[in-house]
Amino acid sequence: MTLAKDEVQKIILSSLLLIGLLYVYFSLLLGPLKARENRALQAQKAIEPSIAAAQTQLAKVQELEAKAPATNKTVEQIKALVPEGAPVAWFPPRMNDFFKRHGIERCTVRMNNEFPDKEMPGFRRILWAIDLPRVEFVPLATAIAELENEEPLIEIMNLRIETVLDDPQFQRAVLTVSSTVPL
Amino acid sequence: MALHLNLNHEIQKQRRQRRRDPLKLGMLALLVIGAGFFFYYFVRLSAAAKVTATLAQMQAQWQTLEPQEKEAKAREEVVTLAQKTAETLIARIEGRFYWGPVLELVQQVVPPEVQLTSFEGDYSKDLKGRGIIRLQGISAGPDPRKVADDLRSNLQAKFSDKFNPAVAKFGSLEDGPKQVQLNGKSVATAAFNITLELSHGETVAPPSVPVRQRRKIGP
Repeated sequence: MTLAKDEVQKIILSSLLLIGLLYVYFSLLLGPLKARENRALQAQKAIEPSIAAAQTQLAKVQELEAKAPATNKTVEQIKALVPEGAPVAWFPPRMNDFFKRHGIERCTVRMNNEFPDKEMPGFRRILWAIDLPRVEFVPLATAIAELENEEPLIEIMNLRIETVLDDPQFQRAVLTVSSTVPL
Repeated sequence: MALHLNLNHEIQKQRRQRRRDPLKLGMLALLVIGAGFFFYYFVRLSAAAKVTATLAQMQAQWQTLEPQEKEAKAREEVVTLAQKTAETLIARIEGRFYWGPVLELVQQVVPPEVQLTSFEGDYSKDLKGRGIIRLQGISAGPDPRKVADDLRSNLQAKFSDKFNPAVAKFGSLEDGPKQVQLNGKSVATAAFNITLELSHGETVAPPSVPVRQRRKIGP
């Protein structure tokens, strides 16, 4: 079968139209669509780790906060042991009362030093000198043991017991005590 | 046989020509291909729309999560700091050096032949977890130096049970200038100075109340 001239022209025209159609389809329709899809996929890949990290962070904080009430309760219980006001106003009378309860009448308390606690923000440490000029050994030892039991925020750093020359029955005791108090 | 004349042959020829018209066939083929492409385009468009929708959803989620994450980080710092503070506070309370048991042991170890004139105990972080006790006193007896040495070794043995290791050393041990009466006899004396070093490990002796028993520190 031989094609007539006009038929050949029509085939060429159809081919040109097909090429045009393919060009339009791939360049103007499918190409931008694929590029947009790729961009979206890349953006998804970029955002996924951030979302996962944020969710992990939230879960971690929730877990921490779930444990926090127990911790806070302990700290609050400990803080409740500390009266309101300046320690210099309440600590010496408190020690006086404590030693009086243990039969030690004379007690002098003075503040030696005060500094912020580097290990515990929000707290400070105060060093006190507690002078008990006339005590007997056993009541003193009993009082010290009970002081250590009753006052968890107190730590005795130095303890000096010396004889009283004019009264051998008694001793003089000087305690250097560190107390932890909230700022 | 009758003569059959086809007078429409021209019309039929034109019809056949129209039927195999390349332009028409090409257009038909183009139409079919175009329809296929159109269908595929919509499939791709749908997929792309899904991806875009997922991205939009993720971005919306991130926009919600980002401030929450920042807030959580700030809260984490606060909570962690509070937790660390609480742990430090509890560790400090539980890791205290208790002087009650120390005094109880001293009271148990010192014999009637010995009188302590001075007791000084030190415990601080500067001493790297060690407690240091300095004892001064007078021992009396036929051999007062032995009495003092027995005291030193007893102190070391008794304290080693609770503070392992405990080391007791003489700072000085000198014969006393005077004789004293002990159980109705006049005996020699010796003045001593003993240093007792205690290690304060993780196991902490619980505080206890010393037994009520008369023990004097005095000359």
